[in-house]
Amino acid sequence: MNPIVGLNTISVFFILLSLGILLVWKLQKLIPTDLFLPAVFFLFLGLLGHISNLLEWSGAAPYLDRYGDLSDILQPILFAVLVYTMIQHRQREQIVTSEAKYRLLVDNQSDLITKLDAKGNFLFVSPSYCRLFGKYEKDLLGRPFLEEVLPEDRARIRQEMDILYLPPYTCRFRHSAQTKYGLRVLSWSYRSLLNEKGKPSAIVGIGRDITDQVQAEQEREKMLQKLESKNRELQSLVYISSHDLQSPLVNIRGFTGELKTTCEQVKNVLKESGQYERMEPLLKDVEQSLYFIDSGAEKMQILIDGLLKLSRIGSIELTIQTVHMNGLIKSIIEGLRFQIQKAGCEITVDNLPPCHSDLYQVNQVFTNLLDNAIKFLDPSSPGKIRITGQERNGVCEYRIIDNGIGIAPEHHEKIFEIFHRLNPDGPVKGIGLGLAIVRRILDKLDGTIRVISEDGKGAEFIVTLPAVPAS
Amino acid sequence: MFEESELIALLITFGVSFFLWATRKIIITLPFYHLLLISFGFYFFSKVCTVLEGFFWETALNSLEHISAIASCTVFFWWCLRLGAKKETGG
Repeated sequence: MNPIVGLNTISVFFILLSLGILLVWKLQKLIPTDLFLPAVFFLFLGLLGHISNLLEWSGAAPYLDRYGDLSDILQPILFAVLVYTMIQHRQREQIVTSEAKYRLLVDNQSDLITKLDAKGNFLFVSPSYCRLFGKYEKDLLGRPFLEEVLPEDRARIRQEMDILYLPPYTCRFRHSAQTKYGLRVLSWSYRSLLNEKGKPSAIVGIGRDITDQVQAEQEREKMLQKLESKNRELQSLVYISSHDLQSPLVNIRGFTGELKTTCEQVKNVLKESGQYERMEPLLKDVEQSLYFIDSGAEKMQILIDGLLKLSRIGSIELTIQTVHMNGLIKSIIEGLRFQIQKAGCEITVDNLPPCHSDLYQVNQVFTNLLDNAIKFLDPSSPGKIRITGQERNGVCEYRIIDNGIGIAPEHHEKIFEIFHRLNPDGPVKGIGLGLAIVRRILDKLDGTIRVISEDGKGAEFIVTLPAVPAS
Repeated sequence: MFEESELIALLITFGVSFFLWATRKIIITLPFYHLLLISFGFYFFSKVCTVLEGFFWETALNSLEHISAIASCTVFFWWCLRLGAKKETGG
């Protein structure tokens, strides 16, 4: 037998197998008709060619050769058609997949998506938009966007949207709209799509229902106003009460002084008349009572002065300027020379960066802090105070480091409270206002203060203030 | 001597090769495109052998032509098999 006949038979066998496989896939709906048909035709032509070749070579029907020639010519064409169909099929598949992805995103989007033509009429509305307004897409397409805006907002929105025709072809606005769920506030971000001539051909907008947010903002604003008014009320209450308490206090102290003088005079008269011995216990009682009244009134006077000082901080007019800290600290140390010499301490000051603040208030802050550092030095060891500073990210950070008695961690926040004293019965006199005033002033200056310390291990007060702007 | 139909078939195959080359960027996205191209490669080679056998080494080239045709059919069969199997597994 001719070997060519054998080879052709194998080819025919594989072509038949391919046809069988394709048929199975088709029946199982695993390949579409547009792919199945060119593949089958391609294989049929191959089959025709090989069978005619087989018959020709076996000598059974040599005249069938012309069918083989026809197959030879058509088969590559069919191969090209097959590949072309597959490409088309693939592209359709990709479009369907992409469409499905896009649909999934748009259909499940809670944000509103719209596309308008250059005149502001709807070209596209997302399902979320239709749901919010309770309308069908077909009812909205071609209608003006402004129809969905509340009439009183329309003129403003039209003006806002005019910006879309000028570079940078974007605009943001919010408006009220009557929706299926009542009156809602919508926030929009629009961008123009430019044609090849660089003119806006369409406008794409993303919107969001911000009604809840707006309500929360309004609530917050109201609360803030209320808080500010209460704060002002409280400040004026403190100011008025401390101011008004001063006059009766002056009277108490004045008349106590009068009584003391009168008491002395009575004492002298009694001594002259020889009756002093009999009246002595009574007079001593009166003198002691007068002493307690006077010292109580004095303490009250100090407290009222402190309260007045604290309440005035809120209403101080600030003069923000560049504050040269090196010079300021030098003058503060000069002012505290007596206390420094008395405490026998050593103060070192590093090169400090200037800050952008109010000179008088900063002076008050550092005077109080240095005064405290000197007051609370450890008497058992030589006192050392160091002041350092550095600028970082637009903020100046100053540190006042001492080797004094220190502050236990549980008191780190309390020391800034009004009238709070760590050791009220200790040798250091005071009313617990210094650090409260410091914090109040720093709040007003957009500064901060914190402390790092442990009991018996000194303290480090860290003060931050705005740095001088670069320009 | 070669036959006219064989030459025409070869020229058309050349044309298809050009089409495949021109659409190569899309073809590489087709499933199992390697198998399809290998099958076409064998087919192309068998057509070349058909024409050349008219000039020299008739028997050898004729055998090569038919062996290439078998290879082309086999690879095409393999491609058909993989095509449905891929869809079946959802690949």
